[in-house]
Amino acid sequence: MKAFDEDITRLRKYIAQKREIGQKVRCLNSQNGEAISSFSGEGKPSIVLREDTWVELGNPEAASLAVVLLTESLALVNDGAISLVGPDIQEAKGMLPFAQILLVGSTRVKDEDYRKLNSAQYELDLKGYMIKSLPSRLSIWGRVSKDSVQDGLSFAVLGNALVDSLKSRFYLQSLEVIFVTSSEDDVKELGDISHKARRILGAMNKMVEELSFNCSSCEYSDVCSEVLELKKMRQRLLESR
Amino acid sequence: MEGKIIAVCGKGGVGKTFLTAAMVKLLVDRGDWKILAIDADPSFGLATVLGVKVKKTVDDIRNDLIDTIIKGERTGDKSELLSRLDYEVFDALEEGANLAVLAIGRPEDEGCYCQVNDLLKDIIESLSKNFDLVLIDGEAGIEQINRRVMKTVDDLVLISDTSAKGINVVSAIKKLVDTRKAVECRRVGLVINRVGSREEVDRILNGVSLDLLGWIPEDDRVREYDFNNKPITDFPETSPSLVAVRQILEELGLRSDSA
Repeated sequence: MKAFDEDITRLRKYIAQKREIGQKVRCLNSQNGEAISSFSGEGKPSIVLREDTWVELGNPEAASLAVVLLTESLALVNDGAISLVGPDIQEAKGMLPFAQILLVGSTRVKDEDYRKLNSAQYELDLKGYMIKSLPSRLSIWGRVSKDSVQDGLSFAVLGNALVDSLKSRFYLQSLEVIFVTSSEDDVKELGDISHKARRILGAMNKMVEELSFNCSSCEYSDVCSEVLELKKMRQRLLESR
Repeated sequence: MEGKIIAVCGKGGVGKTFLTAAMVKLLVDRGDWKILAIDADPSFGLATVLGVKVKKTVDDIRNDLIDTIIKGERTGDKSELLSRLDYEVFDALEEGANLAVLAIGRPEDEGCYCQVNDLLKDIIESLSKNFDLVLIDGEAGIEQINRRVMKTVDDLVLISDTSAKGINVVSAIKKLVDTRKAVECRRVGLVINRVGSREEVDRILNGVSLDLLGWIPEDDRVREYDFNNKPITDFPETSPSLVAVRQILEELGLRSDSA
């Protein structure tokens, strides 16, 4: 998929701009497997109630974004890199705006699997980390428990867990994670970069759900005409009918 | 403790909400259990008595979704729908110390949206597993619990005042349960409320085939709190009605102190 290459370039500019204006942009250390496995969940989604919560990420009243930008141009993705713009989990109590951006390099992931890849980012099973999501709105709501923060849960752990989880389920040659927690405005600014992802996901969902191909009345006809992968997907679905 | 689920049912006005709220208060005060209180009464009686303001109900979520369907807007595939409902139900929880309250509300349009109802029930059941105890304040009609909240509970507490009408309703509910036409449960018990004397209890028990879990004496303070819209959280633990509810909890195998 090449549809997001331009967005990845814009994302790089966004990060560079944040650095230029003196925002804290950190490259987080890789965690060893042991550090991540100490947060292994129990195979069922974690619930963290408010009184046990250290920090809420992207609460329904705060800005929130979770998006996967997939590319075949592997050089556009720094495999294993985890970056954070804004405070880390231990440094902020209460509520934080939240963006989770995954840059995925793969020549093997099929276009149709882009939806699955997007959903998979919400299926992280970490003890003391609750995720609720609205996938079609690219919205994520996380809660981190006080206990897990004491045990060392950080964005480094979260990022590495995402890398491990997605790489174990899809054939990905490279995966990079960027978290933004600095401000509501910084997260909202990413709305432009995620616009195409939102439209592509919407169009894919519509194709799969409705199998209706009346392009003259479809609200996604613009993105379907522009994005080659959507045209191909539509053609394949038509042929399989 | 492994998430026990208790539902309280009976005729309107016999004290379902007081009993549920009193049990919630005593068990939350233990301090070591997480309680989920589900208000299945459309007038939000339980939430009010617990001093909780409801901002969104499960039926608001259901009706929003049905509106989306009616307007022909996309709802996504099943996993997308499940994520959305799960997100919305969690957002509808009113959370306090060791307590979360979920209000079911009243459906504006019954319609036939079984899949939506089933998904919501699945989400409520899955949410319930994260609590030590779930207490449901039911509507007068028991079928609502089965249809809108969950399929199975551990204990069904039927409550009546000393009136013949109240007792007839709990007897009718018991028959529905026995013939599997209502919520499934492991145990059914009776609580008699606003009792003047033990003799009244004995007289009532002669005519019904229900195990007695306990009885609550007439307590003017309940009426006073109700009249003044005061939350039960301030209710004195030494009041006769609360002492009686503590005994009912013990009958249900629940200690209201963590010792």
